[in-house]
Amino acid sequence: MTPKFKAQAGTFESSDIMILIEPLEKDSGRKVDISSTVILQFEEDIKTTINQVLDKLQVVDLHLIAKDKGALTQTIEARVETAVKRSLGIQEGTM
Amino acid sequence: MENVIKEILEAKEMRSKERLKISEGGDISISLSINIPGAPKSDNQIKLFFAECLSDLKRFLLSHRIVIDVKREVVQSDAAGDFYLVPVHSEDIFAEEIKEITELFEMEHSLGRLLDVDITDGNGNPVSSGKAKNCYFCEQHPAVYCMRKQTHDYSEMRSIIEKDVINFLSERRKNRVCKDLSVFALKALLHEVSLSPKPGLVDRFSNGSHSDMDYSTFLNSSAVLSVYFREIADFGFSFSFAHIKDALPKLRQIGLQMEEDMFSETRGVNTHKGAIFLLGFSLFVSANQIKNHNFSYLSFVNQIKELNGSLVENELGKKLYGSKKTHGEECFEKFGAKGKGIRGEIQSGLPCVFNYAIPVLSSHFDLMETETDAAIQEGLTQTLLILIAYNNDSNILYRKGEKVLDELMVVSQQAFNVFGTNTFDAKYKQLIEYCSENQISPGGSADLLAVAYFIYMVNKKYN
Repeated sequence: MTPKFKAQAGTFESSDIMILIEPLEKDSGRKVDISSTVILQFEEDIKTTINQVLDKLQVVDLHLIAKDKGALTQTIEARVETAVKRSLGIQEGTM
Repeated sequence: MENVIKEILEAKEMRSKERLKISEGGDISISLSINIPGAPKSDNQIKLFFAECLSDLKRFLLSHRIVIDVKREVVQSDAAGDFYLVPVHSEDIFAEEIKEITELFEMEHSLGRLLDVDITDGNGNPVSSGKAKNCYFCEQHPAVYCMRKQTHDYSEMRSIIEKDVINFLSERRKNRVCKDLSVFALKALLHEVSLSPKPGLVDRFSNGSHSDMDYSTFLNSSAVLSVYFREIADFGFSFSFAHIKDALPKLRQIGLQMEEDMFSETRGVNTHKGAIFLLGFSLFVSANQIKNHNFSYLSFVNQIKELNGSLVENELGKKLYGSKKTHGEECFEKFGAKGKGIRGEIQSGLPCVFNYAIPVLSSHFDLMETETDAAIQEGLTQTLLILIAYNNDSNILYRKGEKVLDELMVVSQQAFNVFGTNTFDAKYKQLIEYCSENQISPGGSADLLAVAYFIYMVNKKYN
């Protein structure tokens, strides 16, 4: 599936993560940028979690920006999934 | 659990939208939330805690001259917990300055590390100082690190927070109660002396039968005593020994210090010795009972009896103050049971206060929300009359003997009986004249009036 719209999910609160998605042209590949207050300890964890969700939803071409404030894995999963669905136009939400 | 997380995440997004609404207008916003690990994020205790912290924050902001737009404030409780959000009138302050000030708030607050005060600037961006708060539980690692790693056990964290919140709330309650009690005690003294006219006693316009003191002497003396009311209340609230009698030495120490200060303020005139004794015990007992959530007239009487056990035998039966006897001691020797004075009254659980004074106060003030000066004058006058009618005032007994005391009690009862009728003024005048002619002053009854009014106020608020 390919994202059609710019979309976001999450917040800037602590223990949460803000996910921003920008559609890219087909075959551009997956671009993931992460900033986090726990980047030193958890960069790989966060990256893996995000990629797993994107793989599950079979999304390849997109630019994903994650601004993390120490969100737990479950939270990251939920936020990425919501953001992707919003960018696909299959979940309500104006964010 | 899945659903709970979903609800929490949705609630957080809703908050984010609220922040956005504010920043869309170019305004900075301040929010307050509490860091509670796990779920649920709030309960009754936490709500109370949140409300306390919110007033603290508002006061703090105002003190730093940060003006919030209360008309647009958002207060809500959702799956993510309790939440407050408000725009700042931000013409001449930067978001970063506000962040510094709110960080100071978090630092100074006793449970500040449980609090999250977030600032969002006029462009909708969170303002961060880059400083990492240490973990509330281990105090070693940055909080965000422990939270992410889930280092600590959820149920342990929650029980620590619960304990800390309960302690915080009971400390706040203690402050409120002890402040109230100190205020009631001073109000009682001031309204007693201000009640005018009074038979034989010092009032606003007359020195009564006294030549060595006037209204100002009483105001000054009250001011000196007021400093100690809070100390006694704090002591009573904190006191938790098995035997209430263990409190007596400390109570006496404070009482003696009050007497010394009173005499030094009044240059040796006894304005409030009886009041110190009565209010001292009453403050202690009230504070102790309110702390244990069992204040009532009945439990007050029981505790004051227990506290004073055999006060008459212990203190009036043997000499405590060297060679010179107090008036109370001499009176007891001379008149026996009738001369037990204030010690006898308090040992039997203040019957004059509870059987006579308080019912009269109740009839005047129970249904009243704010008491005007006129209403207080009326209520206290009638109460004073019933007290004089029933109190074996050892002051009068000592100075004038039994006959005068008995006559005074009769005239006072007569005035009480016609209270509210058109013959009252004449009868009350007769009582005042009787005191003036005989140069007597029912000081003991005045003390009882003050303490009755005190106990009445305590009961009205805390029972």
